[in-house]
Amino acid sequence: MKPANSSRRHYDQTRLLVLSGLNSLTHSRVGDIESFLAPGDLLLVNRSATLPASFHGNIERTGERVEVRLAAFRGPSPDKLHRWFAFSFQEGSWREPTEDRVRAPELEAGDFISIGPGFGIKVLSVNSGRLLTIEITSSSLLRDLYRYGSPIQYSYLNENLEVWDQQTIFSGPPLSVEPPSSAFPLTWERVFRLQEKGVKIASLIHGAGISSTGDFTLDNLLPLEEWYEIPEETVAAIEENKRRGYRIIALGTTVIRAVESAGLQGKLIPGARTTNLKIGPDHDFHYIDTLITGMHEPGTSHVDILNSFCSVSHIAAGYKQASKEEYRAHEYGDISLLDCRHCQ
Amino acid sequence: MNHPNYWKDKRVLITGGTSGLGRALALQLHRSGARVALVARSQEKLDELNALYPEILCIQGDVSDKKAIYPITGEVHARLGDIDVLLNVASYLGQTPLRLLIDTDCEDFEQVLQTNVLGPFRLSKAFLPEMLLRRRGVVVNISSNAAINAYSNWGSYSVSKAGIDHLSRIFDEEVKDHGVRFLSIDPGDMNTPMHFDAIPDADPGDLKEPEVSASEILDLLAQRDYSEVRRSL
Repeated sequence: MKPANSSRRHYDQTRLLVLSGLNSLTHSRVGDIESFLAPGDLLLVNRSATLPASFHGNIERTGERVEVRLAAFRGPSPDKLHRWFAFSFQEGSWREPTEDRVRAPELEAGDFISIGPGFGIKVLSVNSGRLLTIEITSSSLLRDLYRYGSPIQYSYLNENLEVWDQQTIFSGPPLSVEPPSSAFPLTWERVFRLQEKGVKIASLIHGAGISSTGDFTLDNLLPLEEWYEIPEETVAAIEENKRRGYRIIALGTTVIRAVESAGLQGKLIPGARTTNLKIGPDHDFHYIDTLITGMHEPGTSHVDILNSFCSVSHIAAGYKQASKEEYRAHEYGDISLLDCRHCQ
Repeated sequence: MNHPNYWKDKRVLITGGTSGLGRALALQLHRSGARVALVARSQEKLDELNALYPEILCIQGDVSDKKAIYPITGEVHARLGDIDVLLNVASYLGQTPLRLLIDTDCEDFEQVLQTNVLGPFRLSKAFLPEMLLRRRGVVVNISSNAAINAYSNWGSYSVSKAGIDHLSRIFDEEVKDHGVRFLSIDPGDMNTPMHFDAIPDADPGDLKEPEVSASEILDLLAQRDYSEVRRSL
């Protein structure tokens, strides 16, 4: 499937691939998404905003240039945005494939990367060569993050992204480093229509992490430990739908990771914490019935989640059809609705 | 203020909060137990206010600058959380002494619209999602009688205030069924630096103190009377 190479959004015209039943496959558009949702359904959305999370600086010890991409927020709370996982990259531009930028300068625990006056990154630990735990130092953190950061983006795009290109209609606290992009095709008008139909909307916050490092071994570590918060009202809405037998629909895989993590002990626990849950083909879903999500490349952690949700053959058949019908992949591309979890 | 308990623990963001009406609103809200964040351009004035009231979250930023909206909203989300009330008070008169429209520079007109219309629009867009998801919240824009009456020399400011009135009406029409309300409030002629920038020889005796207008606005909000979007105090 070819990637969407522009951040221009197509909203209602975005293609929607619907996989339901045992092997059913329907081509639709986001403008018709109401017809696949029913009164009583609960749509769960991630309302994290996305930070410009790529930084270029000098390693003080060696004087070398390096790019650091924030990879996941480590908590403990949105008012303390200093602690992150990150990956180092060889200095360069997003226009060069990340696979060609894996020879990052060697970093050691204790290194300081200077980015701007009073703003820099302290390296706390280095793992697998390029996976860092870091602490950002700044007297005016938010201002500096936006001043010196640029959006993480990949070489399939044609243009420089701006901060606003990465936000969704639900954007609130800025904890994600890549956008929870399943919401990109939605408008509030579409959300209001769904609510008029009787679909309930509830939210959570999940700091979406980096999606690609350019290195196969490091990509296998993804998703990293990520921070999320589920409010009590959202837990109550999920439990009510479960009790009454109505569907619980996740808008995006970050929502799945948060909800399934919060329920790992057999009961949904509201509040904020980090999760290391990796959802593979054998994951036993306790809460999410249906998934609305973007189209991504096979082999990524994203597609691992899809394969745990729907049979591998059904997903493969859907992706094959989508390629044939010229769907577009990745964050600015088309989306799919997987309603086949109970049909395997 | 007649409804002090209404404001306890309410989270309120005020733009233009270091002087005049914005400052009066910030201090009254702070005294009533609200959690207040304040955005203004002057770091010096923010520092002065912050020294007196360290509990008020002071954020430097220019609401007329599209790029500045993201660090402002990021800081509010990170340090204050979801807000209950957005008060768009920051306002720009245009070049003073005020000029006839025909003598107004296009760039200055544009700057007035950026500050008085686009700024409130962008901040509304930034904070509406959390309000709509929770199905509650209020956005207050500050209008003027210049929005209604055509006064010579008040061209760009008047147009911007007429614009903010209608922006408020349309937003309200679109979101009122989803629990969020908009108000556009004309606070009356006040004894503020901005008023004297516009009319240097104004008689202070004819002007309301901003503290009086602030108190009236907070009472109006506490009464939750949304029967008319546009109000004159």
